[in-house]
Amino acid sequence: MFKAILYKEWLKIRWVVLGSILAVLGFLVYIGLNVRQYFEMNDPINVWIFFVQQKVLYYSILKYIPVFIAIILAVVQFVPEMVKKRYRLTFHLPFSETKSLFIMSFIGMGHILLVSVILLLGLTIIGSIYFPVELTASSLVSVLPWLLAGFASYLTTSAVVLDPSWKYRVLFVLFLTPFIQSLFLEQGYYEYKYSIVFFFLISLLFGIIILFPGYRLRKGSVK
Amino acid sequence: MENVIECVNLTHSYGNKLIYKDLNFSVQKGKIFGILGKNGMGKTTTINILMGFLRPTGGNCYVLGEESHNLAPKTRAKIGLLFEGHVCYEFMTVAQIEKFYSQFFPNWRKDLYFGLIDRLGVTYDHKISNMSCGQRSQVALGLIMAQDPELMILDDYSMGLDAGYRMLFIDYLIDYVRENNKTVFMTSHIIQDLEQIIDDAIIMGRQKIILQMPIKEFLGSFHQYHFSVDGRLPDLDFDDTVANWESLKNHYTVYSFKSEKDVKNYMSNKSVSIQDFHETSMNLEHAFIGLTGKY
Repeated sequence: MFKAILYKEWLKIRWVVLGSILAVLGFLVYIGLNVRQYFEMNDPINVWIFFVQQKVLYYSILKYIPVFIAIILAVVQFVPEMVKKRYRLTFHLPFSETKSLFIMSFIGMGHILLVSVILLLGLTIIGSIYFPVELTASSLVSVLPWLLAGFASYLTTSAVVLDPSWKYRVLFVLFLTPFIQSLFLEQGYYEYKYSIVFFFLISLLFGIIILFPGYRLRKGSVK
Repeated sequence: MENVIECVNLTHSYGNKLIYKDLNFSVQKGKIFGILGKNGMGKTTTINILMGFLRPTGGNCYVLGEESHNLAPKTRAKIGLLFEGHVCYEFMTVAQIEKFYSQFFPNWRKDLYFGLIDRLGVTYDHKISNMSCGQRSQVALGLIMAQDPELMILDDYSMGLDAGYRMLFIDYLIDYVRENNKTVFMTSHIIQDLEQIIDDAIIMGRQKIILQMPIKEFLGSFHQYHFSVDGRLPDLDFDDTVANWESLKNHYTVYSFKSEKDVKNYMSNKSVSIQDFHETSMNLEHAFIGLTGKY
């Protein structure tokens, strides 16, 4: 049954999965070419001043990419369930509805994890070509909040799409978006070095959000 | 005989708006049961409660022995649901949707599904969203039949179907249900079609059940009498004799469960001269309108 749910989700999200991987690879290639151009057009000292002392993150173009992909993914995955109240088909399957919801969201988060790994690997490769290890390591730490924002945005969007009540949809947005915004406050490298664990722990709580709209859908919000 | 569905003192309201109160009905195993009622009488509410997507505000509703809003997954496997509008995963193709559902049901009857699909003349890679409403209805029916459920709950199967597809749907349904001794709980806004399908029915009125009986018994015992009067008859009360009545100028129609003789006697007691008293036969749709009224 797990395989069946995986199959259904794959049919819904396959183009987003493919498109987002290609897009992320494209951005990484762009960043790599951009950094090479800086080194070729400028003295190394100026490059250092630009990227390190002026705190211009050479990968800043990636900042909102995980969030963007996460929102599209959640919409593509859950809007078809809500149109014509198709969630009733899923909830009537001889399978625990809680497990179904968790599997569906794990599949979505699995893709965001894949995108995150590709981004981290790409930045590691680019960093190892052009920068010292310290700067590469700091770039990976600096990008973690953006990736975390991707997971949180995915779960928030899923909950907003799935909830049958506009009141709860608004509440989800009001309470959860400030947390996501707080993951974009950095001004340079390493700024979330100590707080990222704290943000990660809060993000884990987002994992159960999807159960609330799921419960309301199952137990009597149909009119 | 074993009851597959049993609702006891079923009550539901949306906020302060009471839909119905203390409904009691049961559906026996192997029967095709229809729920008839005009718009807004609570048919969809009842269907949603039986499907487990709505928790009633009062009373209990048992489906295959379990509370309908708390069905175990293995019980859900024994219930086939057809949603209004033949809702299905339209982003899938004919073959993909079969592959998906077949993994959930141990007694999956692939032959029934593809037998029905083959009749449509569509290829297996045909996307369901590109199908007509009629074709989609066959896909939805095929999936339920392949599931091999004990109970089928069909919510307005006729919605959006032309006469041909309605007939096709009914033909397949009757054949499958009779051959496999299935229980069906169904509703449709085309009451005429239900006459040839259903064994028992409940007719819902405002906040209550007006009638529950086998459909043949209803059609055999419910009469439509016409007559004319000189002048004007005072408004008739609804009572044991007059289930409903209507008039156009001095022509009257009375609907009643009583015999012609009883109704004639009843009218003669109204001290009016009655002419041309006669009975006309009714089909289910006429009888339904006769009982519930046109408005």
